[in-house]
Amino acid sequence: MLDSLLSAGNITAAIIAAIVGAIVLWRRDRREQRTEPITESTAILAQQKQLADMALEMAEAAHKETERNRADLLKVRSEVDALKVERARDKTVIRRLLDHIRILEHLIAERLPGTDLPTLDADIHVEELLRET
Amino acid sequence: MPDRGYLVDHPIAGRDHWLAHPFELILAAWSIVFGTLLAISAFVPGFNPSPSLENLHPSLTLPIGLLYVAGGIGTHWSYWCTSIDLGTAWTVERLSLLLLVASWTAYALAVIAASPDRIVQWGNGLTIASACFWRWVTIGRRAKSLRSIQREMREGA
Repeated sequence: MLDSLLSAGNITAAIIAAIVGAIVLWRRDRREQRTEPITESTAILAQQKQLADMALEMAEAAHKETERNRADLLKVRSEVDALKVERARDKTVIRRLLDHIRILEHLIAERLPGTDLPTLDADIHVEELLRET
Repeated sequence: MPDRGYLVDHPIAGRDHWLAHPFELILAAWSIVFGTLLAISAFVPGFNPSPSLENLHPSLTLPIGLLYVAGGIGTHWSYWCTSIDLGTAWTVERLSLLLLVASWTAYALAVIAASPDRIVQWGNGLTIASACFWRWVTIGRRAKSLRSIQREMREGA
C-alpha cells in the first residue's frame, strides 16, 4: 500500500504539483509586490510606526496604571483622615476622663485626708496614653 | 529568540545576514551541497551520497537534486543580492523556500518508500521541510502586515 502510494510516478507527480504551486504563489507575490512595493525604506518606516504605536499603547497603559494608583492613594488618604478625626475624638474623651479623675482625686483628698491615692498612677497612665495617641 | 532582526548600528553587511538568519542560510547551503551530490549521483554510477536513496528511481534523483540546488541558491541570492528591494527579495526567498519544501519532502517520501525504518533520515527531511514552510509563512505574514501599515500610513497622510 505504502509502496504503491510512494511510487516514483506519484512522487514525480507530487514534485511537479509542488513546483506548479510554488510558481503560482510566486506570481501572486510578484503581483502584490508590483501593486504595493515593499522597499527597505518603507519597511523601516512601517516598523518605526509599529514601534511608535506600541510605545503609545504602553504609555496609555502606564497612564491608566498611574490613575489607578492615584485613586488608591486618595482612598488611603481619606482613610487616614478619618483615623485622625477618630484619634482627636479619643483624645478629647481621654482628657475629659482625666479631668474627672483629677476632680475625684481632689474630692478624695478633701474628704478623706491621708488616704493613699492609687488614682495618681491612673493619672500617669492617662498621660502616657495621650502621648501615645 | 524574541526577534531575530538586524541589530546593527552600521549599514548591513554580509556577516549581519549570517547572524540574523543563521538557520535559513545554513540549511540553504546544505541543500545546495546535498542537491549537487544527488545530481552528480544521477550521472556517476555507483556514487550515492545517501544510502537511504539507494532504491530511489534514477529518474527522480536528478530533478530532486536540481530542486535542492535551485531552492538553496534562490534563498542565498535573496539575502546577498543588494540590487533588489526587500519585497522582491522576499518573493524570491518564498519561491525558493517552497522549492526546498518540495525537495526535502520528496527526499523524505523517497526514504520512507525505500526504507521506512530509517526514521532519522526521513525525520530530518520532514523537519527541514517544515522549517522552510514556516519561514515561508512568516515572510508572508510580515509582508502582509507591512503592506497594511503602509496602507494605513498612506490613508492617514
